[in-house]
Amino acid sequence: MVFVLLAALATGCARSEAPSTTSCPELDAGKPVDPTLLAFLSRARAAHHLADSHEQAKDLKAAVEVLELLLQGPAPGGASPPPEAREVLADTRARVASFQSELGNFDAAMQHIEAGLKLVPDVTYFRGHLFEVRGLVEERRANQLREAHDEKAAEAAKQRALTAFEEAMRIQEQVIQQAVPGAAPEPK
Amino acid sequence: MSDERQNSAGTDAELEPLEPQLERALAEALRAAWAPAPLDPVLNEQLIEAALEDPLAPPSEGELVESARLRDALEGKGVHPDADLARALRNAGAPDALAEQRARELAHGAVRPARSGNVIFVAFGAAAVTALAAAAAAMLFVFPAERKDEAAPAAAVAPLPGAAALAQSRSTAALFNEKFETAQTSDRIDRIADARSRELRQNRYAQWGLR
Repeated sequence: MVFVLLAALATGCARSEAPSTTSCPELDAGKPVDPTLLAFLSRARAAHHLADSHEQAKDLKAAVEVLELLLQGPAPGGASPPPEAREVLADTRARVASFQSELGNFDAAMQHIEAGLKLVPDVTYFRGHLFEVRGLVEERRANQLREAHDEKAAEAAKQRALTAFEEAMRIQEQVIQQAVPGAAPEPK
Repeated sequence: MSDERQNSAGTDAELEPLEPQLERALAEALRAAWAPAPLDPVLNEQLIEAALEDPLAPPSEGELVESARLRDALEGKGVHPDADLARALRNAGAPDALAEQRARELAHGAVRPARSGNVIFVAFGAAAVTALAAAAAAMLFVFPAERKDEAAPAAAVAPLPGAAALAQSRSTAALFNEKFETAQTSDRIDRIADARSRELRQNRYAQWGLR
């Protein structure tokens, strides 16, 4: 019976077209979509729209504050949030990191990137986007260091930015190939 | 001057002034509505007494006749104008088994589910008679998502006899086919919330037996 069960699960994962190579997302949560998840998503939606409003008013500090409330607030599943909540939190951390870097708070920005990457370990758009934002953060840091005439540190930050952008490209390429299995890279 | 204003002016001209007595009464009514004065306690008691009937008073002959007619109508003998209302109220509060079964049949006929994935079917039943199946109370069959199904209401499910089918919590990656932009985070959250909201609604329908 156990063999049959495992075989059925393995077959299901093998047939999956979801963009994940390291897990079977259908089994990540194993729980039906429920009102608690929707309450969290609703809260996240409201927080991001509030942040939109602050961003339009050029008040990035207020935008960060409202998104921090979402990050520090309750999430469904407690220490083991369902995939949707993890991805929304990761995306939120990417946005906060971008804002923080625009405010010049590069270390805070990188902390959000690292925390976000832990939430989305699989190959998804969300993980690729976090690397992309990491690249932007390091790029902005490099620019600031260069303005401060710290060429050596600026160069190091620039290198970290390039590495992050390359990783983002690699992940997103995998995502695209998984989404369209027959897609071959463009001939060089 | 516009036609509308001309019409308005014409209408005002046709209005006649109120009779002084009527105007006074209207003014008093408006004043009372806006700032009511306290009611004399004695008058208040008189009004209450006039409005209420004695709930413990013996029934009148007419009331006895009507109650007998209503009782007979509810027992299927004869008709009474209040009998239908009484039945409707009773059915709303506690529908009988036959009506509920009929409602389920109608609901199943009205909801025609489409086939889709993203669902875990938990089937209970026949396998439990074997010793092997008794060791595992349920069998899980996972039908993974197809990307094109994600945008549609994913809880469109293919019900199996004796199976409960609910849309499961899972990665939202399949909702996105475009490059992520930080400036579009809100749009992504909107899309996720909308998709799962639809699925929660479908799950509720399934749990209510409408699938």
